[in-house]
Amino acid sequence: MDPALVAGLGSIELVARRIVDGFMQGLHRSPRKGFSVEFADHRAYQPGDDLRFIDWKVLARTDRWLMKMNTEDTNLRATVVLDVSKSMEWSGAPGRLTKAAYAERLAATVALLLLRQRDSVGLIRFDSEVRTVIPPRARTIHWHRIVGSLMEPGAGLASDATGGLLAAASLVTRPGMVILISDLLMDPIEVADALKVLAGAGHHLTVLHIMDPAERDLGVNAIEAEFQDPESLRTLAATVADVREAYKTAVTETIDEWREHLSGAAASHEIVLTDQPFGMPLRRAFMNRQILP
Amino acid sequence: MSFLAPFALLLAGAIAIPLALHLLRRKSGEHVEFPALQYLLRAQREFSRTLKLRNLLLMLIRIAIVLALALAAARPIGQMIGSGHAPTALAVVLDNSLSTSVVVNGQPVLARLKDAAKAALARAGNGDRAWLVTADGKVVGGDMEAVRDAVDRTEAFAGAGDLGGAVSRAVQLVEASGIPAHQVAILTDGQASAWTGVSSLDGVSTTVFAPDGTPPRNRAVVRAIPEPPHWTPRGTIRATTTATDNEVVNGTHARRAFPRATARREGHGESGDSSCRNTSGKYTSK
Repeated sequence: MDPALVAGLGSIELVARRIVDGFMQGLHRSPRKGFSVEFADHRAYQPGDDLRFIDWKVLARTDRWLMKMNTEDTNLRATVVLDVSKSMEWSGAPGRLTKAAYAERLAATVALLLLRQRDSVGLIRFDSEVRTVIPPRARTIHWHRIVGSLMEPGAGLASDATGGLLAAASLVTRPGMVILISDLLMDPIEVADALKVLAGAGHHLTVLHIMDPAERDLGVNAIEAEFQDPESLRTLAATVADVREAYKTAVTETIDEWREHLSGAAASHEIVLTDQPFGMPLRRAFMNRQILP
Repeated sequence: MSFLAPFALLLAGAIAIPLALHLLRRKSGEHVEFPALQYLLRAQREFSRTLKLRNLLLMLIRIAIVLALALAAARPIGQMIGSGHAPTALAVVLDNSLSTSVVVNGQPVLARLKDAAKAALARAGNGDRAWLVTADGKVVGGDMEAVRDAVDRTEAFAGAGDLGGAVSRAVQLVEASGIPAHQVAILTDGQASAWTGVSSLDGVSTTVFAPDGTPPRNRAVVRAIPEPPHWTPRGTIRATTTATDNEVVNGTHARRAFPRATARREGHGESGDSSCRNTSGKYTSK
């Protein structure tokens, strides 16, 4: 369904519940290997290993000493890092959700998905500084606190994703999942450096790149316009038809640069257009890695 | 090439507008809040050469348009290869007063005026309408061929005519034609006696053709002596003319009445007697 229509059904809380109900249910699989129920892999026996986990059948058949490695079901600790800067408060068409409104509903949906699976989820909101820090908790009532925080005003003049990501690093000490939701109108190198710190701590990193369709193809209803960045207040006069193709090329190149920097930080990157149904970015972002929230 | 309204060329100064727009960079246009300005800046930076070239081309086109408008407003006169025009109502005012019968360089002035009239009619296209208005008040309209024939048939008449009235009539004809473009061509020898009053052109585009060169001197018949004194069909008239330089030219007429007259004088202005005789009903002098 059109996200604007879904958003019109009610508050963030209601919308997120509807999306989650229609999305999926079930346990996620932990990326961490352990000695649990479900078989994952073999490794060679080493002196000192617990004899209970030796694969005796393989030993009987092949005379090889192998240890059974099973998938461990764990409680994931996830942190949603949400950009609430001024640039997110923009929509390219009258009936379309702003990037911030779309991102808030997406964040609420992810949080609810995680909490329903008894995982812990926290929230960090940032613009020019860190606005909100909600540590990860697994209680259902914790979601209402997250939703309440999402409804708070933000929209400072700049985006400091580095501060938000480093706050997430200090907040979640155990390896978990960090989901950055932002329009990424910032320096990719600084963000990639901050993500590398998180990757070094063993976190799985996912970046949901929020874009309005009008930002992707310069879909502005004007022949000539004076464009102004709401954050830096810089202006640029341009004839839309003249620069449209060059603009699309610039967007594609910038996205490629982001992908390159983020892959260097072991982070997955997904473009999320604000006219897409909410389920699509969730599926792409999490199912590709087989780490379902 | 010449211009009917050369002052309109001053409009060419308006090229300063596109030049200023190009140099000062337009600040006009809609104000749009656009957070992804960094992509736009990148596009401008990476493709600035192409954009500059395109903007330069745009400026040159705008300047060319302004120059073309100024040139059109100046109403250039000249024949160009392949040039055409919009459907036009054309009225040719032909001066056939007696003074146009004078012979200059071996040819009557009227003949030159008629050639000019036919040249004007030859430039008319299928969508045009034409009329011929002569100084004696006659009007011929219809298809182009009929008007050309009327020009050919036009002869000088014994009088000054009313050229001013003919011009007014021509203006009325083109204005009543229902065709948006109007043109009046006045072909005259420039004798002041043919203009009895001031004509109103009502803004109708008008072209005046007058033969170049020094106009012939005015002469007056100061004496006419019939021979024999009692006129007979075979008699002659000895006439004495005079000019402002007191040059006296004598001539001899062979007949008494010449309703349509074309005078031709030989002897290159030499003073003295000259005889005149009639040839096929036309007034010819020798």
